[in-house]
Amino acid sequence: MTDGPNWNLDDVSASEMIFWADLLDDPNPIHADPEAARRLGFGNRTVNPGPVNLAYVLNLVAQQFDATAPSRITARFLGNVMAGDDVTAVLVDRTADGGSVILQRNGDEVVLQADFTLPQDSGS
Amino acid sequence: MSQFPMTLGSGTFHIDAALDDRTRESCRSEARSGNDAHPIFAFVAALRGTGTSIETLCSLCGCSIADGPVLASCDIEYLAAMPVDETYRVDARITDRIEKPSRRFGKAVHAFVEFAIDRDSDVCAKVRLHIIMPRNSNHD
Repeated sequence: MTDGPNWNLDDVSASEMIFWADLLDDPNPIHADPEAARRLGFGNRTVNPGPVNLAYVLNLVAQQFDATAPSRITARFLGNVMAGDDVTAVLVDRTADGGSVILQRNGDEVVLQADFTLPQDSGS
Repeated sequence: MSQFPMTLGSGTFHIDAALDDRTRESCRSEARSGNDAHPIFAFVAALRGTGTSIETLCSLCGCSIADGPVLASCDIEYLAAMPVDETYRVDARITDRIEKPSRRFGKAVHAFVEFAIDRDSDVCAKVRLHIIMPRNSNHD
């Protein structure tokens, strides 16, 4: 696993995917139905909605910067997180006004990469 | 002539404290300190507050939610605080729709969507999404 300050969730919940799909009003079957996920080429487990993966990254930013939300975050979704996965958000770079985070799945696969800036008054 | 960019219907989204609490619990966030909602609510408000569901968005782009669209990227600017127990107005538009060959899906539509989330007269956040929608031949 990549070194750096991190935030971890060791068992992504299938039932919470259904909560998020409802929250986002997203009826995409890959979030709730393992058979639909398999049929559409995602494997045989349900797929975490992408915004949840971004929420994990935002948790790390808050954890590292005194609960400060970024002023901007740009994220690329590179892969999928499945039910039962272990995910870790890692702060891989710090800049004068922000940094970069990756989200790793099961210790190696990078499924999200994000660059963020912090508010100017955050004291970063 | 292309129908894009296309302005979508406006709407509102209310972030209540209990929903923020439940969402934080779901994504294993720290409990709220102060009044601000978890920053993921900029994204949630964008999708929920606009008058157009993700399902309809897919249809407008000539695709189906049933084919498993995926999020490619997003860019969120946080311009003002988003406290809980407030109602936000959401305006949205599809800025572009590009159809491309896809190694994974055969054909796919790349949809670019922008949202503005306002409270009173303040713009609280701008959200830009790039969504890849598999283009099933049934929709040709």
